[in-house]
Amino acid sequence: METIAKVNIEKLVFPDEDKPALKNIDFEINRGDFIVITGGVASGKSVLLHSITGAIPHYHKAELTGKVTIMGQDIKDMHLNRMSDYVGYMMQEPQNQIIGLDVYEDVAFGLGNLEIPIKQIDQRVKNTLEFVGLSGYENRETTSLSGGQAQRVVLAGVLALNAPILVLDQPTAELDPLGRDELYKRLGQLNKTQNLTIILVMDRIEEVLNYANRVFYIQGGEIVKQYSPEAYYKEQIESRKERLKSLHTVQGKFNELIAKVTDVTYTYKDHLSGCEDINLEIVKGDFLAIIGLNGSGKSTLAKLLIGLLKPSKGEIRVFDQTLNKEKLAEIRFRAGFLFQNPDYQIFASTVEEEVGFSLKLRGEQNEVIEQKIDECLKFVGLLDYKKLHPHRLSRGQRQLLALASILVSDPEFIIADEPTSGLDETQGYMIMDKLFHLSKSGKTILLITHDLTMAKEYSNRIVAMHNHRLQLDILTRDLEEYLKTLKAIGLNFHNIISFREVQNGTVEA
Amino acid sequence: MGLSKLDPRTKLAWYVLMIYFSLISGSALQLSMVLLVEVVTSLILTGSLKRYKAMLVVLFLLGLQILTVQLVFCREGVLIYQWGILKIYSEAIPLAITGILKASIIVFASMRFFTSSSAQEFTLMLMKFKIPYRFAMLVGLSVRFLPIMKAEYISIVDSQRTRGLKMESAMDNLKGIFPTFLPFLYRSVRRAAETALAMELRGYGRTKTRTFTSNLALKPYDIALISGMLMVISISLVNKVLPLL
Repeated sequence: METIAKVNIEKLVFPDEDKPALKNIDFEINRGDFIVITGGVASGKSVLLHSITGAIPHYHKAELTGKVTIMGQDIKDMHLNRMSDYVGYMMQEPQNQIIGLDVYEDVAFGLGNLEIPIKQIDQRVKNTLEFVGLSGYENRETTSLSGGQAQRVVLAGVLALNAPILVLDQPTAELDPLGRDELYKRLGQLNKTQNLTIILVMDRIEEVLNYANRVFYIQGGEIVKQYSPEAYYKEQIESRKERLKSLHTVQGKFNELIAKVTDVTYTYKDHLSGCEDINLEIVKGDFLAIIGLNGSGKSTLAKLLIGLLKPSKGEIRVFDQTLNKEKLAEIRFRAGFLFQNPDYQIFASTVEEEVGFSLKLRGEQNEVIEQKIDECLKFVGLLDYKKLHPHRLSRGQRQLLALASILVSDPEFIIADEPTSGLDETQGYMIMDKLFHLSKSGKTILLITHDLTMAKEYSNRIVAMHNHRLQLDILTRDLEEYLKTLKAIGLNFHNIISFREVQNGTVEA
Repeated sequence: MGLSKLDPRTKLAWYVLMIYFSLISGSALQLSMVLLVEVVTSLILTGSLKRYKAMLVVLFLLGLQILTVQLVFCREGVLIYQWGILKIYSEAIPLAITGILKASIIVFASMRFFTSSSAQEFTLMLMKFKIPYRFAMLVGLSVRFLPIMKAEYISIVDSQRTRGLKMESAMDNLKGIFPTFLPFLYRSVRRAAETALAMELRGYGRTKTRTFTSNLALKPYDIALISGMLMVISISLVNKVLPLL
């Protein structure tokens, strides 16, 4: 097999840091490899990808002892804007990587930089959009794209350059199960048919292992283990089973109504439907998972429940009070909302200051604030970082910080809007475990998610939304009876452990 | 012929012409004529003046300011009213009217110029003025990220409101600047860094030129219009230096 790249990093240290972000990395990448990189929180996965793409040391300054070569060339000697001849890189947040105002312009951006004649650009844009399933989207404004579509546009822009190596950092972070499945199928197809080399930081283990041939486990900046996908899958499933053994979903037994949604409809200003005719009751102690594809109305419902949106029709009662302007402050005093992106709330210069913000707003005494901060930081495992600037934490740690900032007010009802989005599986489970512990201690949890595995494993009740309407409201233990109905609305629970599809190295999907 | 068919350079020339007339015209009548021409041409070329509705609020506030300043500080003409130290002179109102008319022409022309061309057209126009594409393309990029930043700011405010931050009155908004603006700033810096990296990795700036998916070319009517407008400005300038009358 032809070696396409060699990565030998003795040590990589960022300025003002003592500990190396990467160390003792030594591996070769063969043409046609599909490498999956996984590991714990802040283990160095993204830093490794940055080193392969040349972003380190050319863009992010760091002292790199060692050598990374691609097709025989040391990346230290290559200019970053020449790297597109060798590597295509897709980072986590698609909207940050879209440059064009419309889809055509964005996919053509890289080709234009290569000074390719306009006729060839036209053809390549057309072919690539067809490949990613976005034919006919050429004139669509990029601001109007959904998360999944935006991700595919970025992929098209990268693929159009025909680089022999494709590097992806959690490419399905914003996708629902259907979108995730489709993207991995496309990547697998590229890898098999065009011998494209793919290196990917994995967010969920299920689908991608169908297509990978190597798995690297990275910890503390070091590749501590290399697996075959089969071996990794086996090990992870075992450890997952162990972890889930301790989960006994016994919530929802208190019969006290926390929230009641009656005939609620919400329509956005541009006449777009947010949700329609929703009826829902949330009982104290419930761990309720609301699932649905992107755009099904899950987040709209969550925002309605915390009073960020006002129903166009119908009534919402929380803690036995009508949710209106007069009661809003009182209701929010007893409820917490965990946003998908922790960076939407982090502003303080230390972790402890961030956590104590809500209490300060409530005028609590300093001793009480300090005590509660310590308790909450201990609960989420960030006590050792209390004096650190929040933005020095990893994304997963920042999400835990956001959770601590909510818990500090001791809310009875916690709404978590896709709290594991953008996190890898390990980080995701960490958040979910914390929510589960809270649920066990009597808190009511409403989880908005498109992660079917987590919905199934942690909740006692599942509500499925489709086309802005509530389609199904069931107990999780009865899930098996409703699999067909859920599959019909794009929520395929059969697929959540889909590695079994691979038989003798061929993908059946 | 619609406004969108005109080359952005023609629109720029018209913009310059309007600004020029707003600055050299001294009387309310002259300024009213210029404003009328501006409004009528807009109506003919776009078929509607709806898009300028938002501008009326800005103009109203601006007009109010101009009027207040003139009433308080103008000392020309005869004293027509006095109340304590406040003295109003007869020239205050005409001066305020000409000021408001000048401001209206400038705001109207600016709005028309900046809303009648796409970001790509602006980029191409700047490149025709020999501005390197690395800088010219920033126009498109800023247009692209403005709506995203707006949506993100709303999410940040929502996020802090759920933590108990009040954002109901002007004073609340002032108090909430740090918790809302700092996350916005952090996000913007992070986005700028990621966007720049994504652009570089897609070959941005590897050569002095690049292929654009569209191009600008002056059509005969653009040339005629630009020449005509330049001629009007030239005649007016000559007339200023060497008055015919």
